[in-house]
Amino acid sequence: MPIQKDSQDEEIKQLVIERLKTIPPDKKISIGGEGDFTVEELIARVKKNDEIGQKIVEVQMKFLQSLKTGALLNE
Amino acid sequence: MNSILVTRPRYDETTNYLYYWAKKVIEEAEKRNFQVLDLDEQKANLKDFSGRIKKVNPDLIFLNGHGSPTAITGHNDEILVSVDKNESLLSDKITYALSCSSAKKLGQSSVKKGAKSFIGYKEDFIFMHEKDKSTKPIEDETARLFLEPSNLLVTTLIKGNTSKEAFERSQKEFNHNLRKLMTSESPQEDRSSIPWLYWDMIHQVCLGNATAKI
Repeated sequence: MPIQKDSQDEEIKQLVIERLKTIPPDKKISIGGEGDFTVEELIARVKKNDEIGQKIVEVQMKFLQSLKTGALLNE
Repeated sequence: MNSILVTRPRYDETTNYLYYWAKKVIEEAEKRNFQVLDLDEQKANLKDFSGRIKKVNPDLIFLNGHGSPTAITGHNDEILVSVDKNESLLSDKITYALSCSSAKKLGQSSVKKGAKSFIGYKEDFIFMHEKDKSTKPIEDETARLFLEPSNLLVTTLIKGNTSKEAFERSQKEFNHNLRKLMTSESPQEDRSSIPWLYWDMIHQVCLGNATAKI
């Protein structure tokens, strides 16, 4: 079971990384007191799976879930 | 005369953006003859913050800065208001905090201790901006998607609407921007703003008395 979960986590991380690659290189993301990040830095954080990386995954997954449930369109 | 206190520290890229965008709110307040207490840059410190509140007793407080679930900071991360320390400074006032996560505990606690209402974010406030606009944040059309709905909240309050109405107006503008970005006419590069914008919208909350107004 843990092996399956690890593989699922890796798939999610990969999905998020692919989504981050669509951000134009001339943009930055400000995450409050954590600082401002370029696309490359965001991807590195997701790969590293640190606190910022996990936050980025959470943001992206929250959005994808909203599409699945229709929550975004119902807001 | 109605009054508004605004904190506008500016010591990193994020606060630089908030500093300039909050200036637009100040201009609107001045147009409406509000007394504006502008604690900008180094003036966004605890001594000036608490002193001005005690002396003038402003109707509305607009906090820009970094935050955590329990505190909001000013210049160089100096804590201006925090749970179980001085959140009673917000008593009898309407507060809007453009800072990360402060609605989680500080907002709740300030309402328990007498704040009329506290509008803010339960999680990090995240925004996208353009790399080459740091010297001209007001001209940054990407940041506008995030900071205009935020400003609209305060300007709606300034116009005499209730906390709930201001919150709903801001939510509507977030939603409007989201829908605009999701249309097929919207360029792909702009659409990458959507998840972050959605995140801010769903974590914005209005606590306390929803009918409170200036």
